[in-house]
Amino acid sequence: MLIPRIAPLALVLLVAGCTAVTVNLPPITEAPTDARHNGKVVWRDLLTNTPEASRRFYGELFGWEFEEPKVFVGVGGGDSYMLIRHNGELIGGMVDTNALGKKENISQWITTISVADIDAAVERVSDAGGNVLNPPESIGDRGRMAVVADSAGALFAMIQTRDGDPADSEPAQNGWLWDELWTSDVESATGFYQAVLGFQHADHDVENLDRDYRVLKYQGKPRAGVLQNPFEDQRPVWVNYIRVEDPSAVTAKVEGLGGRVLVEAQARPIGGEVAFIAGPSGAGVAVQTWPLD
Amino acid sequence: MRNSKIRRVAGLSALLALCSLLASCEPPAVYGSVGYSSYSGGGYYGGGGMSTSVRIGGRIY
Repeated sequence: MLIPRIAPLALVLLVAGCTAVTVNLPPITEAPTDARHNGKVVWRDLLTNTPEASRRFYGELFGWEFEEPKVFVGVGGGDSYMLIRHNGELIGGMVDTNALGKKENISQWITTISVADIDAAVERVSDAGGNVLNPPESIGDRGRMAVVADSAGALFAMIQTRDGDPADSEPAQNGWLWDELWTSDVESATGFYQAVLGFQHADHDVENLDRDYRVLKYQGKPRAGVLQNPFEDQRPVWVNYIRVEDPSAVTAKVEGLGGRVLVEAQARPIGGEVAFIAGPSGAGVAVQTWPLD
Repeated sequence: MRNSKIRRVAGLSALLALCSLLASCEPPAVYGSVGYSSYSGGGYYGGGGMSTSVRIGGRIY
C-alpha cells in the first residue's frame, strides 16, 4: 500500500538528485566571442587534491586569484571548482579532486584544446589509437567537452565552446605562455594529433639547440610544441608554460610554498631561461622567460 | 484482492524503475572519469626527486 504512494515522490527526488550532479561550468570567456580557433589551447584546469595549498601556491607565486563561479557547478559542494584569474582575466580553473571521490592522487594540469566539432574529433581519437575517457558531454555554459588520452597515453581535453574561443593575444607576465607535449615517440604523437585535430607540423632547427624543435600548427598558427620526453621514467604528458620574469626567483620560493623544484632554472641555448616545478599536490608546470632575449 | 495484487505489482515496477534510474545517475563525469588506471602520470611527480641535468623545451617564437 505504501510503496505506490511513496514511489512518485521518490522518483521526483531521484530525478532532482540526478539533475543536481550535472556539471555546469561557466564559459571560458566572460563575453561571447563567437570565434573559433581550432587547435588552440583555450583552457587549463588544475586537478588537485590539495586545493587550499594550491591556491596559496599559485596565488603567491604568480599573483593569481581564485573565485567561486557564480553558477552552480555540480562537481560537489561549495568551492569544489574555482575559477582562476590573472590581471582580472579568466585563465583557468581548479578542481578539487576530493569532490570527485578520488582516493588516488590524480593531480595534474589538464590542457584543453578547441575543436569545431567535438563529436567528430572524439570519433577520430579511437581511430588514431587514442582512448576516450569521457565522451563528449555538455558542461553547461562552457560548451561540450571530452577527456581523452592520445596514442601514447597523454591526457588532454577537447572542447567545442558554446560562446566562442578567446582571441590570440600577447602572453601576460605570470600568464600562460605555451603548451608542449612530452611524449615517448614524437613521430607517432605527431601522427595522432594530425589525424585528430588537423594539425600540421614544422621542425625548427634552432641555433645552438642540439635537437630540432617540433611545433604543431593549425592553419599556419603555432599552437603547441612536441618534445621527446626529457624524463625517460615518466609517462607522456602535456606540460603548460607560464611566462615569468625570473625563473630563478620563482624556484627560490617554491619549496616555501609547499611545492618542489623538478628542474632548476636553466639557460636555454636559444635564449632566455626555463624551469620546471610542481605545486603542493604534485602537478607539474613549467616557467619560462619571454621573449627569448 | 485483485486490486491489492495490482498495487503490489505496480509498486514493484516503480521500485524497479527507480533502481534502473539510480544506476544511470552517476556522479559528475568529465574529470570524474580520470582515474588512476586511466591516469597517464607525468603531471604528478610523486616519490623521489628528478634529474636536473636534463634539458626541457619551451616556446621558441
